[in-house]
Amino acid sequence: MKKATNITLATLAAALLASSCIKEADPYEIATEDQVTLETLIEGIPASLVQAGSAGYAQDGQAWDFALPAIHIATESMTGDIAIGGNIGYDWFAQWGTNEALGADYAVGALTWNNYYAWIMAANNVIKQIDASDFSSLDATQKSYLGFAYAYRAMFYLDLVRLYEFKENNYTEAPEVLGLGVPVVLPETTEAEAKNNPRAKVDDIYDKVIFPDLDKAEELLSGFTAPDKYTISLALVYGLKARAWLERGTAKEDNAAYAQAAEYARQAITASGCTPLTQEQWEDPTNGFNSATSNNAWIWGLALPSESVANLFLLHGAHEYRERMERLRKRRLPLHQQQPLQQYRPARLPPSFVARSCSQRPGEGVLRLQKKTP
Amino acid sequence: MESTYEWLDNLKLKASIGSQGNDNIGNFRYTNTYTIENANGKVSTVFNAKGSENITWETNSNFNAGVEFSFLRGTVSGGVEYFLRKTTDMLLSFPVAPSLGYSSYYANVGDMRNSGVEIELNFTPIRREHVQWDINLNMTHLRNKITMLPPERRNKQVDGYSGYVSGSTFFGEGLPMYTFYMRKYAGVSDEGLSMWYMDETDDKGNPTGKRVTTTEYAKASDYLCGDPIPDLYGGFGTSVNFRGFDLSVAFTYQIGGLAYDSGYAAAMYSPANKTTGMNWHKDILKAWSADNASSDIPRLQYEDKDQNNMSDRFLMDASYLNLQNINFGYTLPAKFTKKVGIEKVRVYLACENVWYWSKRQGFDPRYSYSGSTSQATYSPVRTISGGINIQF
Repeated sequence: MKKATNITLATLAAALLASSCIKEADPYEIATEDQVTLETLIEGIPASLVQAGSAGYAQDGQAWDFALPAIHIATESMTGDIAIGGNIGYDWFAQWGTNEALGADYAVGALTWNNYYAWIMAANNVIKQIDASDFSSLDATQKSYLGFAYAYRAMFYLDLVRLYEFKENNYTEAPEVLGLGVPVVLPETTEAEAKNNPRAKVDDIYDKVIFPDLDKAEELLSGFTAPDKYTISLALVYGLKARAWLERGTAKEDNAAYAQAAEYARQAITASGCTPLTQEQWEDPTNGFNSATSNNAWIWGLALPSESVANLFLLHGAHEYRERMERLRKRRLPLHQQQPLQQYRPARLPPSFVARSCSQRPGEGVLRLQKKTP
Repeated sequence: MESTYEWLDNLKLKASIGSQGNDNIGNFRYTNTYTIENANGKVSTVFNAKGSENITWETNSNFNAGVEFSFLRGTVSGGVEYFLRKTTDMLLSFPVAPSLGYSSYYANVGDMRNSGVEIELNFTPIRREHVQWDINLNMTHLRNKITMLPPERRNKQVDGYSGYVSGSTFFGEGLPMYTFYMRKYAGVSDEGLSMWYMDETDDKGNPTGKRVTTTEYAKASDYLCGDPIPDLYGGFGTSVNFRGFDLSVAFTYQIGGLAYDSGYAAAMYSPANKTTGMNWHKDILKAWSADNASSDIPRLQYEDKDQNNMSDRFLMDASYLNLQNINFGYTLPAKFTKKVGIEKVRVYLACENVWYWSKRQGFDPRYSYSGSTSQATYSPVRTISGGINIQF
């Protein structure tokens, strides 16, 4: 009997010890800061550029929320280059197409604002970790990673400044914002500085961020050969330089800037070996613009892994997908900060309904529930 | 003590003190977290949430003191209790400039105090062999205050309070939690346009300390606009038993506090391109017009922008009365049921979430502690059920 008691006690003690180990749990769904490496961080940038639901609104059925490809459709819509046929109720980019309700009070602003600054942070996090004071002390891998980070950051600021700069025109006047771009956040920007970080001057963003970043990327990637079209290459850096100089040229009617744009465009073509699309390729709806590898005109493209190809409209999709969207949703503003936006976002919908936001104006009956057709 | 024997059954003085932790904010908040993504076949990590290194438990220290009593053989019973709950290292999601790449992180943002009184009363006016009637009532009065915010959480001064803005709420030292911070509605202008208050500034942009009105929403200033905490809340009910029949009714209620009526705000929209053909609230009939110039509802004009944007115009008194349930039943006399070997048979009808009364039809402030309501969430559904209860 005594022996049996001892065994029981021993088992009990073992059980207690075993349960006390739970304290040191490792995360299994996410990675913590000490688990990430420079490599996973830099690879995370192209991954986040195609991350479905990255603005945090896909869970609510906002089907425009799929990162950089969505931004490209939005900007195409803004220039009137996309023709919408059939049921225009399914045009998720109508707000951009009609230039309605795109300001800070509306959810759609998150597509550009939240995404670009999350990506800028990702580039900054790489730049922060590599000592850039002397490029010659870096090994080949560090050079390429740092080059990617600078090229990405320049690309993001170039997009942002072009999206948010107010340009003189014949229809509207806004002298108070003339010449202003966007707030600049660099690795050294503190939380307190970010809180009071007014829009930087457009000229300063080009002269102090975009061009210096592209110069550094050019230097760092000069000996680098990109293994595929989905990796940043020297040709892409030249292409971005050509775009940036073209912007400067048109902004200031500056022939020297135009000459730089032409020069870098030529270098981009030479370095990439790309050739312009023929009319036949251009008008081919399957291969012209749908793949980075179907013709020889694309310098850079985004790889779309199957995880990112999701039906954003499917609120009650697969379990893993729901979990993923829920996690992304938490990333956006905490609940009590959402009041200005909540009027056109359903908190939770029964599965037989899908939400369509007909118009995104706060205070206007904007949520319409449509019975989902089977 | 013998002199109290006739009327006093029970009198208890009680007090308790204790503290407990709370960390219900998800795991790994001490560090930045990343999701693991497929980057064209390579493992990659994408930023998920910002951590804060020194994050620690939120501690709640509770102090309760009160009396419990019962008089006249249980005819009157109840209790009165004072409670004080001090929360230190309060865990809240702290907002930052979204240009940092994330919009907030969890941190111990400060200390808070909840204090108040709870009263519970039970009264049995009739208690006889075949008839019993009970009445119960409870009420809670609560005050809430943020007692301390450290300097790094005080980045804004509003009306002499220092704290931080989070969406449409202001967390200020000395203010109740979730104090509304938004545009203040100033009625309609001579043209029938919405007006809001703004702080006047001189030519150099310095505030003059005067409040003026503006018809431009973007230029209006935000002000402290009250808080959602009620003056009194609780429940009451009654039950009657009469020769096997039983009937009970229970109510809950709240007096005071504010909530944002977003359903009403949405139903008062101004029609515009692509924003037409949706239902209006009937108050739209009272909109300003040349013949109805005394109205405080802005005019109804196609393409008028911002007229019904968020402001304290849509903050409503959140008082309500809620008829939570009604139960009605009949228990068959035991002398019949026992003959067939059954202890008890009760036939009943029950109705839950019967009705609620609030300041405006469709405005349901019952389940929002932060004072936000949504027309897109359903109120609890009324259910009516019946049944037979048999005990052997």
